[in-house]
Amino acid sequence: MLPVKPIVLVIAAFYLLVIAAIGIWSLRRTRTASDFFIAGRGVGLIAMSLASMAAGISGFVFIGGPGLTYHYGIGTLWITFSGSFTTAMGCWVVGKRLRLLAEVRGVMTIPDAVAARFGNRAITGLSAFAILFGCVGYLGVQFQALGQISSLVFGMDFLTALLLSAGVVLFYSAAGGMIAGVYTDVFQGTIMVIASATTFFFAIHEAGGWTRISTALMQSRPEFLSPFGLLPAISVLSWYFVFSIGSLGQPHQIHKFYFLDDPRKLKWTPVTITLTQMLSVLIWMGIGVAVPALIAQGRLAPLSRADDASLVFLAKFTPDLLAGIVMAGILAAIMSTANSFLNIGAAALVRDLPQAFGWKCSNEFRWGRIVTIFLSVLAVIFVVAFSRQIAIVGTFAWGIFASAIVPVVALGLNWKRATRAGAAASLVTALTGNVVLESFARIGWLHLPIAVPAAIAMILSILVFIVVSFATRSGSGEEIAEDVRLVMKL
Amino acid sequence: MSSSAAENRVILAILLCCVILMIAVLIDLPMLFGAGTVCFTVAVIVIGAVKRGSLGPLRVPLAGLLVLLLISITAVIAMPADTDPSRLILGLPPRVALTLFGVWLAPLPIALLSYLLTFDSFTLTEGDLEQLRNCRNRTSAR
Repeated sequence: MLPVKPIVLVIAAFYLLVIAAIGIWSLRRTRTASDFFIAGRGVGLIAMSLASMAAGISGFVFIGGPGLTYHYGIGTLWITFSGSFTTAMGCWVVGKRLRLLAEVRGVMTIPDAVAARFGNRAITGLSAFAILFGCVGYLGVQFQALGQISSLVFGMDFLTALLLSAGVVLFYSAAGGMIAGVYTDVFQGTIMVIASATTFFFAIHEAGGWTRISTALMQSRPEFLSPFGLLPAISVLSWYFVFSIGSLGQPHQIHKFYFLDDPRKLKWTPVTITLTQMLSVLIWMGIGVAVPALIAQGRLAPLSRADDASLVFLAKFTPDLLAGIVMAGILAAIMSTANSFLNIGAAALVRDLPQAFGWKCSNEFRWGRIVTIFLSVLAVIFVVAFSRQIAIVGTFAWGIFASAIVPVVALGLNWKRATRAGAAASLVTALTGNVVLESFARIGWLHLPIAVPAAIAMILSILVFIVVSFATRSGSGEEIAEDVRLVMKL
Repeated sequence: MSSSAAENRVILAILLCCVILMIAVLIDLPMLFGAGTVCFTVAVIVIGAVKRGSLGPLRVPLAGLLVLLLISITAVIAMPADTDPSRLILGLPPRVALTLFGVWLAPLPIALLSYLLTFDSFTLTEGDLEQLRNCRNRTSAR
């Protein structure tokens, strides 16, 4: 597809070397569990913002997104549209509460916050399990994509490429934990922003500007340019709903609020995250719209696979230097997301689940490193042995995070009347609802349009959380602690 | 109004939105689903932003965000299909232009500026941080 070009190879190799160097640098600076899981709560505004953005934007934005748009039209861009206000929403609803909770309780993970709010081990355990389940799916998908892209860039077979690139992620994740994670994210996030924004302008220019793009597409594929593309409006609006409200429940992003060295820096957080995030998704729109327009203009043959849209555009229309930067950007997007999932997955196994069973890990830092290695090896084995199943589990991940975490964290930390029974019922509904609805839709037992099962699962879990909380009284010992109550009041 | 009563009212609004969304998604009513999504989203922002039972200076911008998104999304759904390639706004068919500018870009300044401009005086004041420090000292002294 993309022939191995020397400049692309050099840029990608340079990228991997810088990442490995940051891993070595952070090895000496990572000494405690707090360093490993939340970067010692000593991260500044820009680093935290780039880390949050880079964790949230995976390789899907660079490859899968443009492919989706090529296939279904611009309705697919609604997935990204709520990004203009979701970070501000996130700061109002969860960011302030989580950061202030870290101030009074020293919480490090999302299940820690759930434990502080509800004071119940079963609820903490269920939230940790939901996070671990989603992490495994996401991690598998990221490693799979990492193997595929590295194999293209370096001209190696899939397994060698996977072992090389996953080895780099494993090295810096295990060696430097979140200190390495944050500072590699700064480098990775910068590459992603540059690659995405440059490619967007280049793609629109290459296809002749918006007027020529619109004219060509309205004549050849008029449905492509309708607001919902070739999809039912309810599917597109379900995406908008799930990706706006669901953003409040993505643990790999919202736990970054703990990292800030000063809660007052929350003031500028929405500005920095929103702008970098919006720039980073521009590539999706640029290539997603330019490639169909180039085909309509007769300058490109129709693609045999929609997911090839980005790679074909890079191979045929961009200068080698830009193609190299974009390929590094794709690796960066995948690696930064994988690193975040390794870290929160390790935290769930080392800290959250043991606490849910009443145990305390004696050395969370050392075990964090060991479990990070274990999770990486497990993910590689799964990718090699069960590639198809991993892709399916990966599709559940966003929905599971959204429906499991949004009620207990986003509503739970803002609503004092919420009860343990409501939280437990909502978590069970989220876990079963997503798996059942998505599986039934795939098997064909349920005929629901794309994206609708995730929306139904999320609505159901929120509905259950509220109704059960209203229907049950707070049990004995369910009073909210004074410090947590203050965090909820401020 | 007490803060708990205000919270309960917003939660009831969210509950109502959930019911509306469920009905809309099950019987395929995009207009209702779109409007429900906007109301739901703004209600969730309100539950996070409300302080001591009041939205303070955020009342107007959040109302503005609600109105903007309601108008943009319902108009995108209601407008007729674009068929004339010579009728473009900034190079885009009118419905697409409305989607890009109304649904995607216009909420950006409202959300960011209202958050930024009210942060120090309302969202997290020095007094709030002082209360938090006192509380932490009290709890750690016990």
